[in-house]
Amino acid sequence: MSSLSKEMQKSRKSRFVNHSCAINYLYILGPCLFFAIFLAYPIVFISIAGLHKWNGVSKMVFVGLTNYAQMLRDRFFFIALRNNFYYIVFAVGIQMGLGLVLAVLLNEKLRGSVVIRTIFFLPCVIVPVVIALVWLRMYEPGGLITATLRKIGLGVFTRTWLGDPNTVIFAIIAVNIWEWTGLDMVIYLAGLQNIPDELYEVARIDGAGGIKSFIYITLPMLRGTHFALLILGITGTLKTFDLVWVLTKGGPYYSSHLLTTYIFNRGFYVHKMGYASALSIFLLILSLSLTIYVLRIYAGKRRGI
Amino acid sequence: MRWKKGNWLRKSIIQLVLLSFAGLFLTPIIYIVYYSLSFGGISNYEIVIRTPFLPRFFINSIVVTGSCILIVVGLGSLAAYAFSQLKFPAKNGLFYLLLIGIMVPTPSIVIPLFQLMRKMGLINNYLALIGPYVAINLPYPMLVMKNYFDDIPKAISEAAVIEGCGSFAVFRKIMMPLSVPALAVAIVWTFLFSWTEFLFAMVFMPMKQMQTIPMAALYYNGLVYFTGKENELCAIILVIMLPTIVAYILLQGLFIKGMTAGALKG
Repeated sequence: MSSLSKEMQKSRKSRFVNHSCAINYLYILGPCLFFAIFLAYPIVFISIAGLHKWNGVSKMVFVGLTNYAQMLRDRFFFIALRNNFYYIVFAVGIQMGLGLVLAVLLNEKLRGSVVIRTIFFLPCVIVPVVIALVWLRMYEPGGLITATLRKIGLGVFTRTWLGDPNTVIFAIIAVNIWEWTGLDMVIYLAGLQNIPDELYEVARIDGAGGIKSFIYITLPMLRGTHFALLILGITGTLKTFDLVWVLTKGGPYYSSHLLTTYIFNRGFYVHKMGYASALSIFLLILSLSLTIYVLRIYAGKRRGI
Repeated sequence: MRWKKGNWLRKSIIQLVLLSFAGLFLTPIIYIVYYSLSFGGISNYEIVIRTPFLPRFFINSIVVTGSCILIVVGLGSLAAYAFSQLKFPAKNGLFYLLLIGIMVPTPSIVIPLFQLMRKMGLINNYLALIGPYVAINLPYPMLVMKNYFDDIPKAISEAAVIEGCGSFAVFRKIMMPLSVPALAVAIVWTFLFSWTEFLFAMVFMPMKQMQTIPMAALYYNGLVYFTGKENELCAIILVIMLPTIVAYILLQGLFIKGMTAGALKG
């Protein structure tokens, strides 16, 4: 090691660690290329296409902001927006809440907790299309859910879950909850295990019971996890397509469309690709702004500590 | 929550609650297994295994997913190394830009990508899927790997530099061997996404021979309307689910680690 003088050692070290050089760009060339072709280009494209009237085959016709004006008068757009809102509130909310409860219970280190954890996380790795096909059969008029309700005497509650515009989006949300609660549970579990036991000891000595220590120790210490899951949940639900499409294709009569499936419908079924592009831009901006909003709250609370 | 007395009753109740809820959770899967065995029993599975296109669907998925994993791990680790250890202008800006990929919903970009694939003549080509999948999958594994590289003590790489290593040698000989867990996360994440992706698979691969597993499930679902044999469909669904479930059960630690890794540093 001392075959090189100190100056040479220093210059060797600083050659690539402290100085930027063109070669360093080579490392990120690959991802940048993929990003440029498959992400940046499409985003630029839909920004432009959103200002045109276009059916995908013939030439685009410039129409300015007509598409966006049409959006504001589109009843189905607002239905999709409402459904997305329900999704975020109910799906993300219940997934996080249920996930937290399960994680707290699972944290008690009981026998077979690994098996239980495996079972709850299992739906996360199954192909969503397959999940939708399975639940399709469970929801159908002769299916499991109706049969079970009748058997336990609650037959009066049966409906055509996926055929009734009032219940369909909630039926879909239920499937989503089944699918993703395991993920939230597992992430909360990891977060819980980062909380030092001493905090609970001190609280117990001070006389705090289970519920109190949960509110004043567990919840605040999980703050980072809360926000990470919120962002994951919101971006995840805004991306949801497979489940809804396979379960209902947006029906009955557009009542279960999410923005994602509505975009697909407008673009590939009725061939209004200009309008679909405008909707895509809206979805993108929505996703970005919600994420930034949540991040701001998190950063703000962090500074508040 | 670690009282010594009265523990047994409390724990038993919790265990009971958890077990019954887990059983409830398993209902859909039990339902499918039960359904697939009705009206014919094991012979349903026999019929399924002899279905014409099934191996082809699996091969397609394996090719696409395998290529994605290779490219994401290869390119992603290089880039993560650069973002973590090397210096170049606009480093931070570029990193956040690449992270935007996580927030882009796939249906937003399917229209321009479809036009692009048509123009490039890549419809019904594996590349049509591999390209977008890699682009969408790169950000998260890159983030996890970068965080991992950040945690490797600088002393080790500095020692290597003094021994005469260039930046790539440090990457190859030190960073990579030390970051196997992060690589595992990248592999699992990419696998899960590429194997289960549906929208691009549906739009870019209309030809039956090139379709991937999610489309296979739909294809058989459509067939049922002609044959009316629901139980065979359930058998096929189970066969399709099986590889993933088996891999999951064997490697669960890896799967769960993969999904939670980045979330905690968020």
